[in-house]
Amino acid sequence: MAASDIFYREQKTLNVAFAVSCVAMLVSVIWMFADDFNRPYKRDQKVFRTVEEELSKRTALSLAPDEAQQKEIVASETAVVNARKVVAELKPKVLSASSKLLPVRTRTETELQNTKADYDATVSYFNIAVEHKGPLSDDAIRLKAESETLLTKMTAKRKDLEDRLAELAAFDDMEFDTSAGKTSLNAAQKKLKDLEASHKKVTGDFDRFVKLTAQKRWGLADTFRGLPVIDGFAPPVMIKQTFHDDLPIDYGGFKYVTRYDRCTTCHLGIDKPTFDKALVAKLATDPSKDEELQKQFRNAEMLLAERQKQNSDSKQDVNALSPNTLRPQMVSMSPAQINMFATHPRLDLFVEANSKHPMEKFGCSSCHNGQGSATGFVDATHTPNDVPEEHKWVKEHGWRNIHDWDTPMLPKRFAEAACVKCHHQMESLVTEGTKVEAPKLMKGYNLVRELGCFGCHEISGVKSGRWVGPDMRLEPEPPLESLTPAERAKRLADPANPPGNQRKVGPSLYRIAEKTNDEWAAKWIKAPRVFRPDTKMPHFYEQANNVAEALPEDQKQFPDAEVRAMTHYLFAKSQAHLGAASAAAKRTPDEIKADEKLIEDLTAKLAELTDADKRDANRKLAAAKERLVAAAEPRPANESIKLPEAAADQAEKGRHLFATKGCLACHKHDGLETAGPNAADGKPQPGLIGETNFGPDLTRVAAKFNAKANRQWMVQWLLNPAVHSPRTLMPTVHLTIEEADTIAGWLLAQPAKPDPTWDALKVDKPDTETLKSMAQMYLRKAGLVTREISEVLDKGFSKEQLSYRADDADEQELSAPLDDAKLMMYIGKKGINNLGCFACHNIPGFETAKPIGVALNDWGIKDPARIAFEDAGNYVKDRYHVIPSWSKGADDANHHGHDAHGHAKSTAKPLERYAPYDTSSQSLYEAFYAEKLHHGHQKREGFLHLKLMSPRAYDYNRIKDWNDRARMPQFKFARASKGANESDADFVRREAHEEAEAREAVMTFVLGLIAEPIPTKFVHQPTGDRLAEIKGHKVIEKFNCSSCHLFGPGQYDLKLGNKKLVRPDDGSETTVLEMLIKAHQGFMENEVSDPKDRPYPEHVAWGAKPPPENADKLRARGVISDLNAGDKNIPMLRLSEALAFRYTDSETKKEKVASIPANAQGANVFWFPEVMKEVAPPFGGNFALSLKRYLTEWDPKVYGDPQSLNNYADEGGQAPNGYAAVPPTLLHEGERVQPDWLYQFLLNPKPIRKIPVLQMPKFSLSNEDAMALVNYFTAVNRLRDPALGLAGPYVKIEQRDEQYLLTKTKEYVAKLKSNNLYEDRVKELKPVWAQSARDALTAAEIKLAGLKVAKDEAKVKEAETEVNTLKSQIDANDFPAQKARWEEREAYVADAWKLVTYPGNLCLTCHQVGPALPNEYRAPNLDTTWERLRPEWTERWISYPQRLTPYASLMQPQYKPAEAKKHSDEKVFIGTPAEQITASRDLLMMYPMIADWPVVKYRVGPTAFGTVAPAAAPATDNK
Amino acid sequence: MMRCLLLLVIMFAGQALAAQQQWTTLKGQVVFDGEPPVPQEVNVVADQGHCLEKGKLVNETWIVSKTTKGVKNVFVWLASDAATASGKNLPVHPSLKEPASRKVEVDQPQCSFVPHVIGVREGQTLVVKNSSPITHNVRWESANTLKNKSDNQTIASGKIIEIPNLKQDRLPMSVSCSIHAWMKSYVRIFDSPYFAVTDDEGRFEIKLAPVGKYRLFVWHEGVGWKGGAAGKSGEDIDLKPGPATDTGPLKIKP
Repeated sequence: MAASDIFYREQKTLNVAFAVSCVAMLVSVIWMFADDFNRPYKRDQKVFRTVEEELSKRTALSLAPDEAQQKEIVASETAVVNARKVVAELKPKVLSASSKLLPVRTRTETELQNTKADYDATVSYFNIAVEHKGPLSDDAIRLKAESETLLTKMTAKRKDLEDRLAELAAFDDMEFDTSAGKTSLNAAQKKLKDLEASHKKVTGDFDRFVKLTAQKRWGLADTFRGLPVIDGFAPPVMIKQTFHDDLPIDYGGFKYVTRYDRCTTCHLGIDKPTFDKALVAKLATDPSKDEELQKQFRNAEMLLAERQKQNSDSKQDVNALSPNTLRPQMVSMSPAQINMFATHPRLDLFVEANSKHPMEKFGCSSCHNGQGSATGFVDATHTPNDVPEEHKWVKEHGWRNIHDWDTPMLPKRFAEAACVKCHHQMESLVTEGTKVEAPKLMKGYNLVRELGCFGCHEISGVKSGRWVGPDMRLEPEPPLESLTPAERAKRLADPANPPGNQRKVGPSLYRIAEKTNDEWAAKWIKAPRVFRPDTKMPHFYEQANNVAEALPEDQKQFPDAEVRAMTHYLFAKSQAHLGAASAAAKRTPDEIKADEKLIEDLTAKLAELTDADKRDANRKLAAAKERLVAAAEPRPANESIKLPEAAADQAEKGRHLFATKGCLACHKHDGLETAGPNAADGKPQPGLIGETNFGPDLTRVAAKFNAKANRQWMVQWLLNPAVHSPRTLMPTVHLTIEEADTIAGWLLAQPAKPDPTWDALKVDKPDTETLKSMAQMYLRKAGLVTREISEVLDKGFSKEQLSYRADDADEQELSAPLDDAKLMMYIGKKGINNLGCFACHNIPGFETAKPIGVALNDWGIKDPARIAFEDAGNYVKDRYHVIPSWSKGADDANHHGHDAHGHAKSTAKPLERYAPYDTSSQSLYEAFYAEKLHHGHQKREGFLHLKLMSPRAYDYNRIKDWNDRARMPQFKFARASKGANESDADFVRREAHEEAEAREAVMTFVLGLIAEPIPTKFVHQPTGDRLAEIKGHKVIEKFNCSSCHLFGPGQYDLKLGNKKLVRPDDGSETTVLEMLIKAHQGFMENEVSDPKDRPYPEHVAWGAKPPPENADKLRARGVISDLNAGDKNIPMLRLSEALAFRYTDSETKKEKVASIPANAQGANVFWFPEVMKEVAPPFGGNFALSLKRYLTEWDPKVYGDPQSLNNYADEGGQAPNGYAAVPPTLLHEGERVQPDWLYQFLLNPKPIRKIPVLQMPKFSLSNEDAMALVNYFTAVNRLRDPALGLAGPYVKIEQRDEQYLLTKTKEYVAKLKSNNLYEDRVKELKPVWAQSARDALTAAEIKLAGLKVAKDEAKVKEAETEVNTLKSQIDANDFPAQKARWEEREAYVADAWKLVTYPGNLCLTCHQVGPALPNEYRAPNLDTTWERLRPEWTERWISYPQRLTPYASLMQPQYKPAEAKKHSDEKVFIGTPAEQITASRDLLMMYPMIADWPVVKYRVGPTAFGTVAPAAAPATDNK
Repeated sequence: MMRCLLLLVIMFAGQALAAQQQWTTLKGQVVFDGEPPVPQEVNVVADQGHCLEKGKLVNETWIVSKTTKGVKNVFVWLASDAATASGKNLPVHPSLKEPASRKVEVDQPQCSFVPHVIGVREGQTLVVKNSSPITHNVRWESANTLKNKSDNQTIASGKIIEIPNLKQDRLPMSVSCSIHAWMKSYVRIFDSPYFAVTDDEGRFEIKLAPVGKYRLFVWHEGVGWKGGAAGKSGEDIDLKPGPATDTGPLKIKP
């Protein structure tokens, strides 16, 4: 457009428009600025300042001295003020007195300065002169002289000044009259300093918090600094952030961006321990109603007022504070703000700088997810934990779902899922043996492990060669253990595909035919939980997509037909397998050789054959190989097991054996839950409840069996479970065949409670039509056309047709002529293949099958867009009753007949029958998950939840072929059992809730699998002992070792404080500290004969580190056990490690540290649940305790506690402590046994003691498993007790060194000589030497006779000399060679042997030592000590066994320092009790070396040491 | 003057009280109900030389007189409190205020405890001797470890150990020897002087017992409480003024 003067629009209008838009723009700019300036976090931070102020105020108030102290403080305050006054008075006096001297001092000072200046100038001239004219020039010489004069003068002046100063200083010490009498300034100042110091001690803490309160108060300056623009410098409120360059955020895999976490902008108290949530919440309540607080305030007020009065002229800020400063105020805070300001609930583990996950290193969003850089509530992607919370947030914060952020914050219920990211070894979340740091996650992991989810869904943990998560994969088939070393090494060396380590969770089905019958098996497959409610086997049938209701008319027969077909397949294959084993056993060696030769020939020829011939040859080869393998298989039970004649009292015996042989450590049985009637012999039959559901519940086991062969099978199973299922976790428990038969007899005789549901369960036998229609479906899949299918179903495949198919093709089953059995085999195999039964069971024909499920490695970040939600949302809507959340409103919703959304309650039920939750009336479904299935809101949590709850619901309203339907089975995750006083309805609801919780635990684990390649330095990689502990823990869990054995003590926090508790023994009141002091005194009193019971103060059982000063709680380790107090049992904390505490001695008023050693007698630490918090329960040992109770009831005379002698008399012998008869505790196992021995023992256990009713069974441990356990014990003991310096995995046994023996002997001989006992011993040993010489003579004579016959002249002469020497020695009763050897090598051992086996000594009461036999076999044979026990432990054990076992030990302590000075019986051994213990230990450690020595060999039996001398007292003599 | 009066009043009051409380003797016999068991020979497995020196050892649980069927070694005592079997609140005769001796001895001269059962009064110390030439050990087990401790100590030939600070308990302490497992003894601790252990003929006598209605307790190691669990709280006994009260035969059977 050309330029012109014409305006396109009217100027005026434009002006108006311009003006308006200017104003609008200005407004919007201001609005923008204002909006940006008034960010919500600023408001919160301001409130937080008030909270801070108020909190320090409250702390100050709690420290305010009470009325009683008030006076004291005021007095000390007055004293300080007075002292200050005195100083103030004195200062002018001193000044005026010294005023005359001051000018003099100033003058002298000036003179000195002048002289110094002159001197410096002269020196400088001198230097110039030297430089320019040389050191010998006139100038230089003159200047040097001058400078020397000046120096002298300066020294004089300096002295002058010092004198003046001294004179002046004297005035400071000069005394003047003051208001406080005659005193000097120095003295007054010193007094003031002292007074101030002592005053600070009393009120220092109070003052500090008062000052802090004043500082935190929001002042005018703060408001000013927070003004716009000015806030660019040092604003009081600002964004706070941490940044993490090395832990970046992955933006969808293409860009890594530095992580900025600004969470602390609002969560201001997150790292401050004082911001305890309860404390912060208390600030929002009205303080005027808090009596205690008001009282504290009055105290503080009084003090401050007093101070103000005294310090009216002072400038000290604290003292000048107005009393009103401390008046408690109510802080107006919303509950949300309380939450926001509160500290992290696990500060010991997170956030705090010294914790394992400091905020500076890990930030917040790396665990919690969410948008860390956001500073607003909604933008940070906070995620509500349930629907009611969501509604609240929408209302209060305008919450909405932020779709743009990939990883929204984890809701509280899944918070633990984040741990998996770095903790790839899940067991690393268990700290110190028992404390589970992420309980929900661990529960989920353990469920996945126990239920065998990984069988179908591989969890490989590896992504592109890096570890990204837990490794749960099936072990290779065959397992590593059965491979040759070379093959093993090869498998283990493959870094890309390391072998898996999980066993299949179900039993092998190769030999199922001899175990049970097909009728039972069919019903079991159809509905396993109906038979055994707590079975791990899931339900495949009667599910949402294959229950009759959901199937089209022509498929209604299919489920039963499939079950029957699979059963048929399993039994047919199994019978063939057993038949082959049976036949193979009958084959002659020639036949076997022929097979071997055939294999050799065929293998050689194979390469030359044509393809057709090759196939044939291969078949032959496979058959021959199979025959050879079958020969190695155990024979069927009906051939190998010959049942013994049943005894009359078999039932009762069987029950007792079942109870005591450890079966209930893993299994349950209703028949033992309650006590039975007394047996025929009058013995009671106590109840014993199974501890775990590690193995199946055996209550109804009899119903599985119906034939004699089944009983034979059961005996075979009990004798050696590995025959039936080589990879079973059930161990061999060392039964005789009679015992096994007795147990089997009892189990089979237990009447199964009639169960109408099970009895009514029917699996119809299929008709040919149904089979054909199913086969038709599979054949079509196999690529056959309709004509071919009808031909095949008519006649079967011809031989020729089959030759075109692979040898292992399923169609090989359908060879002509076709019959029903063949169809069943075909359909059965297809069914097993389709359902993936081989994921848990070993099944013939499926050796190389691959997992059928989707891998779960990174399921936790699976894109919801790639998940098929199908019509599942409607299934939930139609069939479940949606509740807002489990915690609130579950019942309300039920009552009102409406669901969470206000819809009328649906009347339809879920399609599944036998679901693990109640389907009879209202199946509850949480809205949290229901919402995540709705179109547009679909989330992976929603999908996963329904998949676990009703896995086949995804076929709802869909049309699919029979074999294309969803096939995931329905698992039961929780194992609730009905409580004694629970109504049916309550139980149903609780069961459903527990199932929901367990399901959520599994979800937590699965959602944690996100395969994020975290930088290596953040991945938790335990090393050394910790790694050994984790590895060992895995093995313990795998084999359920912790059912029998106690591995670790419980941990309990004892809260100190003033809370009064009632002592259960005498009803008096006490605090925890008082109880500890009393326990300590009890220990001191009871150990009166032994006041210094500290032979091993470094050991955790004897010594403990004192707790930090002012600690408010103590961590104790031990077990809770009942103390028998006559009529009642009092729960007591039995310490397994020493407990140290601080207290103020009531007499001396001094602080003391006292400790209670482990298991100290008389030191009763009672259990007060209200102040003792269980941090972690003891690790294991439940079954041992139950068994102990059982045995005590069964035969109190043999197994009762010695104390419980209430109403019976003990006839001969004493009741051994029942604890000795049950599996031992392993608290100190690492420091106790030698690793080599333990390794051998674990792999091949042998009985050690005779008292126990059961023996350590033999588990199918691999070498690695055994090694992991051995290392576990050493590692755990080393971690708990570093001072021990425990060696491992290799241990040096010093006593086996020759040098050790020689040194000890030399020392001992010296001792004999200095005690004038040398000759005595020689005399004592002469008969022994004589006997030894006589035996040698006999041997020499025989040798001589032999040589004479051989006519070897030279040697005859030699032998004759020997005979003569021996004869002359015997005649003279003098044996120089033996004596010399005794003196050099044997003296120490000879007396140690005497010490151990002397008649009347205690060792032989229970122990055998080589040829020396015990009174009664009650303890381990000491012959094996040298290879079994560690020397240090042996010594500690002999010294004081009680300290080392959490229950009463049968052995008594030998360490008695009271007798250390002089020991009475030098005839036996010279040395203090401690030396005697060492000597006994040395002897045992050397045993194999010394067993043949004459001093040992010839001194066995009652008269070995001559007649029994009076006053024969070995190590344990008493005062 | 006032002081004298006061003294007088107190004296009179004392006399009046003394006059009120009368004392008697409680006598009786514990007999076996039925055919007494034949004493069993002990299987001596350790130190046969010494233990069997003076003949065979028999189990000492049942020592029953052949003529009167009287049972030896039965504890009989008076108590004021049925639940704890304690005699703490019984009136005590002035001459019995203090135990006659501070010590009660038990010896093991020939592989058995002598006496076989021991009654100890609170304040007395139990002294365990070993006058035999061999070593024994003494393992005493308290039924209520809150009252008395349990322990196990070796006691060499010619030595003694002392167990002080014993407290009354409803149940006895068992004393045994781990080396010679058949050796067994029971110790009961009482908090009143009114207890007795029956003699060879099963007789007992409790002198200077207070007149009044109290509870009588009977305990024997082979039976436990007389009358089984019901006897746990003793039976009523009415001590009448007079020279002696006789309980008649108290029958026990296992």
